[in-house]
Amino acid sequence: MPENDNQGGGGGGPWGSGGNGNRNQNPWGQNGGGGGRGGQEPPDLDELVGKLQDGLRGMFGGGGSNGSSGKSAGGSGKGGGIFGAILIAVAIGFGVIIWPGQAVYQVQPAEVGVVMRFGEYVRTAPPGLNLKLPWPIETVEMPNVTSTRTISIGESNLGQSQMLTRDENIVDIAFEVQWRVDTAHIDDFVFNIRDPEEAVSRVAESAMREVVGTSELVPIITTARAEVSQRTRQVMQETLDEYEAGIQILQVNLERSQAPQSVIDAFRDVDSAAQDAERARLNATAHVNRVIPDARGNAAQLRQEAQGYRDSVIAEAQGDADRFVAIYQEYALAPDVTRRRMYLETMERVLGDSELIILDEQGGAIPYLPLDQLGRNRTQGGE
Amino acid sequence: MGRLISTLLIVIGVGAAIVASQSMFVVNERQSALILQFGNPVGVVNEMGADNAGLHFKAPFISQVIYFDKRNIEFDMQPEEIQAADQERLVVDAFLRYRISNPLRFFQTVRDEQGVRGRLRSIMNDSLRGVIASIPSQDVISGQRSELMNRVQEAVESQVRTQDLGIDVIDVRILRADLPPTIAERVFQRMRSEREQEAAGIRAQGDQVAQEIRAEADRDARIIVAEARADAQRLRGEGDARRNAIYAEAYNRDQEFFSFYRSMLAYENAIQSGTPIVIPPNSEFFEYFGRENGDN
Repeated sequence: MPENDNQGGGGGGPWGSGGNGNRNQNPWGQNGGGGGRGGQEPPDLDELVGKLQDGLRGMFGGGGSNGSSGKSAGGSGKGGGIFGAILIAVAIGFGVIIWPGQAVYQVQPAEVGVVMRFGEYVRTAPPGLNLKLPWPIETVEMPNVTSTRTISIGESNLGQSQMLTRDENIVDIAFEVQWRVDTAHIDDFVFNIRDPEEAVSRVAESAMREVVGTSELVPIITTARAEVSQRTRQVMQETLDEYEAGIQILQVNLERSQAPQSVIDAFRDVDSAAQDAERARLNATAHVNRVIPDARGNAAQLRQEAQGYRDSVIAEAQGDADRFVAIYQEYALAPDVTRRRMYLETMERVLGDSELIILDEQGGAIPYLPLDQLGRNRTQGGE
Repeated sequence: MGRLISTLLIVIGVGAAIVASQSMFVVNERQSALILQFGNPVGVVNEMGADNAGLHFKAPFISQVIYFDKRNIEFDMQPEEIQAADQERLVVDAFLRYRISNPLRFFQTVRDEQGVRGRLRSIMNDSLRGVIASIPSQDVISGQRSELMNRVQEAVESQVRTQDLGIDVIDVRILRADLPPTIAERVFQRMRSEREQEAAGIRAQGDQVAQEIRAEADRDARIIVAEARADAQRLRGEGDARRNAIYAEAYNRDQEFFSFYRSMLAYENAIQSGTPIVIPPNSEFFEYFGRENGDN
């Protein structure tokens, strides 16, 4: 019977004390504290607790009476007693240590604890150590709300990256969306939307296609990239707000926005054509820079030469004239003598240097002129 | 005896536990629940607008709880080839987001999400075809895309309402409205030839500009040189004129003497040394060459 006694007493004791413990020490007490802290405990909690306790008492009361009747009955099997003792020890362990242990949880700095009582959202808990009613009464989910999440679209999947523009061209686009949980609407994020990642990704692609579909190809791949990102972000945010998704789109980055692979050569050729044109223009400018100074130099030379000619001709003429005037003035003093002298002096110089042949006109016969000898004489004379 | 009683009590206890567990159920914030009694709906918990998630009770054994997702759910349509008003075919890929607003109607009409997907597929298909067939492909692709999506959404909503599916359509979005692959290849070809034309145009224009620049420079250079030539000729003329004036001024003092003087200079310059000269002995130079008096 001691076993039975123990079992009975133990059964009554531990269950009772367990119940008491549950009731008075751990969860409710702590919950009371937590409730006080949170200040948002619903008023019907006690009623709920009461119901629970009634339920428990119903079960454990049965156990207790079972124990007492077991006491009175006696003669129960030892094995059953040991088994029961182990069961009870486990139950005590669970009731005293593990179950209340469920009440403490830690929220990481990047997270927020969303506490649900029987699935009903009751409060959010800040980062740090927090208390709640043990499972299964209260459960907590801790979504990461501060970290930025990134979704890449069009990076690997070609079909995703080709988009039709308003002018019916196709543009190849890859972009990245950075988003995070909207801290003002964490409950929306947790409860309102299925597959938030998927939703962001689909809305992103749809929004980008909408924006690209209203723009023309050339701006998209050149000047309007920032605008495309900005408008996509805006459309995404509006759509997700409409979904009450609790998602905040931080940024849309266009990583690639270019002509599709199969036509990119033609597009690059346009760039190189622009470079060719620029090069042709530069060559022409170089030509200008060569030809014009050349011409100027040429012109300067022509002018200088002509000026030189003019000046030299004038100077020569002046010299000649001066010489003439000087001689004339001499001449004018004694014209006949001077004239005669000049004539004779000139003739002297001229004839003195020449091969003089004096022939009489009246000779009649044509004289034989040994021209070769004359030449020789002249040469010798030269020597 | 005692054993029997204790066994009996355990059985009763377990039975009570089972009954208790059968009479309680938890409805999560994300869910709504429908309570059926022998298949008859007797209650709805936490449906749209009724914010009463949490622990609930029901009659044990005879009632059954069916849970529905209360969240915003995506329905994705397979891409469909649809003809627009201008007979151009487009590949349209759309998705829809909905929420189960009336679990009872939902359960009665489609039973579960599998069922609603089938309905939505045909509704979406109908609505997309109906709306897109009425507008030109250009508008599908571009300009009025958001208006188009609104019209599709209205069409879908009205069908959903008519069929009373117990869901709210939150949004219909066209993910893609693209040209089919064969047409896309045509677009690529057009893009290529457009770019080729553009490149050729740019090159031609570059050449043109270059030629213009060259021609202008050549012209300027010619003008510069020609003007310089004109100036040079003027300068030369000036020089010549000046020379003539100077000569005239000097030589006009005595024209006869000038002739003589200049002839003398000319003889001296023109006749080189050693030049054979044939002179008759009766020339002026030889006036005294033989006769002292010089009379012939």
